[in-house]
Parts: sequence; C-alpha cells; structure tokens
Amino acid sequence: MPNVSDCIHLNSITKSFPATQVGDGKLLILDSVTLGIKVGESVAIVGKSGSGKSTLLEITAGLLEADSGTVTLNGVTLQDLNDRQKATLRANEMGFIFQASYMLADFTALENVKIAALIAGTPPQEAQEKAKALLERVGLGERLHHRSDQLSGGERQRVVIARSLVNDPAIIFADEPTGNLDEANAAIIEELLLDLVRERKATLLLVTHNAQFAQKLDRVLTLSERTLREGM
Amino acid sequence: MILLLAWRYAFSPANKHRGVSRRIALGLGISILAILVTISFMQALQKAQFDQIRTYESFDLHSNQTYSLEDGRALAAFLTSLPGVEEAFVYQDLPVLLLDEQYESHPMRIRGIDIRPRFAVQHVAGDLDLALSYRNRFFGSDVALTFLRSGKQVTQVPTHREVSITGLYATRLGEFDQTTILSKPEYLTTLTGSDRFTIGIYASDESMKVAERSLAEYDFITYKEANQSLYQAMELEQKMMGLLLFVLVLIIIVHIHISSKRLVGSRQREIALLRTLGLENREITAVFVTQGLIVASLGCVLGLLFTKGFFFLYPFFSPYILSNLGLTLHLTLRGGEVAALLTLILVLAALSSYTGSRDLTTVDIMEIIGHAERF
Repeated sequence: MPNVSDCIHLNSITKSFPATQVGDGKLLILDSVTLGIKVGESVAIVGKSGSGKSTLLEITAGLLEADSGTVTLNGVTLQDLNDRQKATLRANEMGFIFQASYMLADFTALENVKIAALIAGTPPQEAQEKAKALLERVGLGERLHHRSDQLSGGERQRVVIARSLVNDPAIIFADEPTGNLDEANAAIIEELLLDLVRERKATLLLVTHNAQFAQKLDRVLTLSERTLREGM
Repeated sequence: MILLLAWRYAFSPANKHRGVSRRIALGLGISILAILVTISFMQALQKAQFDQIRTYESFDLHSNQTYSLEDGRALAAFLTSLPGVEEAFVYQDLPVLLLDEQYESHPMRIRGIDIRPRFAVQHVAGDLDLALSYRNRFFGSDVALTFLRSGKQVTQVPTHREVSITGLYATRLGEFDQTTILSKPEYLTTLTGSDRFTIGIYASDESMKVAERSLAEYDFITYKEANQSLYQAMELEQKMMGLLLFVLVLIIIVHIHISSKRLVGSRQREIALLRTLGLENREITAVFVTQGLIVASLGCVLGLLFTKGFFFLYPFFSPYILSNLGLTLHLTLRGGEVAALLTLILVLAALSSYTGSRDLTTVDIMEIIGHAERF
C-alpha cells in the first residue's frame, strides 16, 4: 500500500523489452521495483548506461506502460486512468525536462512556455504573463521572441525548464537535463533547476549520470541489477 | 489554441517549413484547375456538337415521311401553330458532285430550304436560287453539278447541269460552308425534277418535350433518334472523359493523402511533445485536421483563382480553338460540380490528416521522441 505522505509511489514495477537474442525473447529491465518519494522531495536515480533509469522515469511519468505493478502519483493510480485523464494529469501535475532540449520548433521561447499554460486551461493573458515572468526568472528576458534555432543549447534547456514549471506542477520529471550541455552551462542549469523546484516545493525525480549533480538532491538511488537501492 | 497551433504548422511566417504547405496548396490548385478546365471543355464540346447537329443537320425534329412541296408547306404552316414548335419548314438535302474548272469532282450537297435558316448567321446576299458561302473554295466560279440519289453514289436524271451561283451566305461552321450549297426548294425541284421534301422543326430546349407531344400523331423523330450512332459515340466519349476525370481525381486523392501524411509525419516529435504537455489525443488530431483543412482550403482558393484566370484569358485564345476544331466553345462551370469537387478535396484532406495524426497518437510517446538512452 502506498504511504499517504508519498507524492510518488511505485509498487512492484516490472518491465521487459522484446529481445531476440535472449532465450525467452524478453530482456528484463526492471524487476519488482518499489519506491516511495515524499511531497517536495528531490530524488536522483543514478546507474550505468542501460540499467533502466530512463525506463523507470518514463513509467513513473506514465509515458511508458509497465508489464506489471502500479504507479501512484498524489494518490492517483495511473493504471486506473484513461488517456484523457492521463493527459489532464500531465498538463496540471507534471513537468517534463528531457536530455535533448525539445522545444516546439516553430514557436518562440515565450510561445513554448505559454502553450503549456494554455493546454492546462490558463486564460491567454494570464498564460502570457506567467510565461514571460518565468522566462525572465531563468534569464531569458531578452530572448522571449527567439525560436529554438536562434537559441543556444543552454538557453533552450532554460526554456524547457520554464515550460515544465509554468503550471506549477507537483512533480518534475527530468531525464539527464544537463546531459547535452558543456560543464559551465550544466552547472548553471543544475542550480537553476534546483532553485526553482525548491521555490515551488515541487517533487523532483531526476535521472542523471552526474554524481555531483545527484548529490545536490535530497536522496540518491542507484538502479542496478534491475532493482533500486539507496545511495550511490 | 488548436487554431493557433494549426495555423502555425501550416503557413505562419514563423514556420520555417511552411514552404511544404505552400507547395502542397499549389499542387492542389493546379489539379483543381486541370479538373475544372477539363470538365468545362468536355461539356462545352458536347454541347457544341449537339448544337451543331440540331442547328445544321437534323434540326430539333424532322419528319420521317416526305411530302410534295405544296403539301409539305401546308403541313409546315400548320405545325408552326402547334405548342412547342418554334418554326416548321420544308427542306431537301441532295448530294451532288461538283466539277471544278480543272475538271476535278468534289462531293457536296444542295440543301433546298424554305426559310432563311437559323444557322445562316451572316448576311445572305443576292438571290437564293443557289447560294454559296464566301468561305467556299469555289466561290466566284461557274461550276458543273452532277446529281446523286440521296445516300447513294448513283446519279439521277437529269444528271448533269452547268449552274451559276447567284447568292451568298455564311454560317459559323466552316465544314458546313465548304460542303453545302443553299437553294430555294422550287429551284431545286427545277434542277432535279424531284418533289419530295422533309419537314424540319426548330424547338427550344424548354419547348422540345411539348413539341414532341404535339407531333405525336405525325411521324417525326428527334435529333437524338436521328443521330443515334453519333449520340452513342458521344456518350462513349463522355464515359471516356469521365474516366480521365476519375484518373485526375485519383491523382489528386493520392496527392492529398501523401501530402497530408507528410505534413503530419514531419511533426512526429512535436506531437509527442504536445502529448507530454498534456494535450489530449483528440485535440492533437483536431490540430492536424485543422492544419490539413487550412492547406487544402488554400489549395481550393488557388484552384478557383487559377480557373477564374483561365476563364478570363480564354476569349483571347478561343479563336485558335475555333480555327483548329471548327467549333465555338462557350465554357461554363456548374456550381454544383465545383462545390462537389471542393467538398471532396476538403473531406479527403481532413480524413488523411485524421488518420495520419491518429496513428501517431496511438504510438508510445517515448518511441516517437526516440530517446538515445533507451534503458
């Protein structure tokens, strides 16, 4: 049973992928993984490449289906939701930051953030103001009307961070948010992300290779041998 | 918001890929032009052919029986008073061989006819004993005629006459002018001794049915019945043109389908991203259906503008068509057909966009985003 104070609760998550080279045609990635994360807690998952970190994050965020087990976010079990309810949950309760700084290519920085707010049902004027304020907060006040191809990698990732936070989500999912950035930019983004998450008292589940970054979070978990253990 | 996304994905100046949408719309516009021009030419050609038959050859109706000139005239006068009949007149077509000054013979016909015929659109000068078109190559020459039995290459008595052309006529149909000498019925009788005339009738499209009913007790046939083989050939021609149009529509369908899928396919990652932002599948589908409709609508507008431009320019090059085909084609478009074509295009664009985006909304988000580190 999930702990009532858990913001995220994974119960016995198992996931495998088809693999022709393996005897039974399935490659087991996660084996009965159970995890509880409290409200406002920031948790880093580390592990070797191919250990299943991103898969675990995607299952937790409802982007990928588990073979078995349940995911409960703020008391709502994802497996009980239909596509429409999941979409509403994503819009209002979740923010996503991927390794590649995915922006909507034909939209400006301001529009990228504003659209996320509009999807969540924020009135246009309010969405505009929130988006502008957030972009100024992440240091892009002068870049509001630039498209993704007119921004650097670091700037794009700032836009993505602003976009993920515009609806004040309860949970932020971040998959290697600094993986594509140089050291200096990575350090800036790390600080920015953590500051913003703490300001908003959001729960952060982050996947990273970067041990230093991981240690800045409240908890570090290591995914190894298909299961999670505390610490590095 | 759906409209904002759809417009941006279609044509917004901020969209650096909008050239694809423009090319698709242009392709649609050209296809619509091709279809509408083909339809209007096909209809104009058929109408011209039928008008030609009705005006020059078998008239709207004509009698199966022949009458003496006196009886024929009396009956024609009576028939003219019947409902639906605009004009009734006696006529006789007599095949002749014309011998020119170089002693070469040319097949022609003399049409003895009682009225200044509707088809003689230009001034008929001189005496109508024997009138030749000024466009006829023998105009101005004395000619010798050998009379033939109708439908047969056998001469009849008196077989051979030297004649003088005394009148002048002209029609819109060069082919008719080249092969026909007009004559008064009495004069034709004096030339051949034959006194058997057919009665021709003109009736408008509207009064045709009334005229047919009025003439039910007489032995008359319509221009369609009289030219059944030609009518069938034209029906076959219509079917072939229909087939051609079907191929054109098929091409347009494939164009719309591929283009719409391409438009949606190029947005795979954006679709996945919009889903992570919480856009519902039906909203994503609505965005891309709207995008497809915007592009198709622009294509339709372009197609209509191109077609309007073609119709505007047509009078400038229609004389070349007249000189090549010998026909004056009056192009018209039927609103119903245009509306049906445009509706078909818009529906297909919406359907293709719908199926394309629906496919992408059922795929796993992370599969589309194509994460580098899968596990």
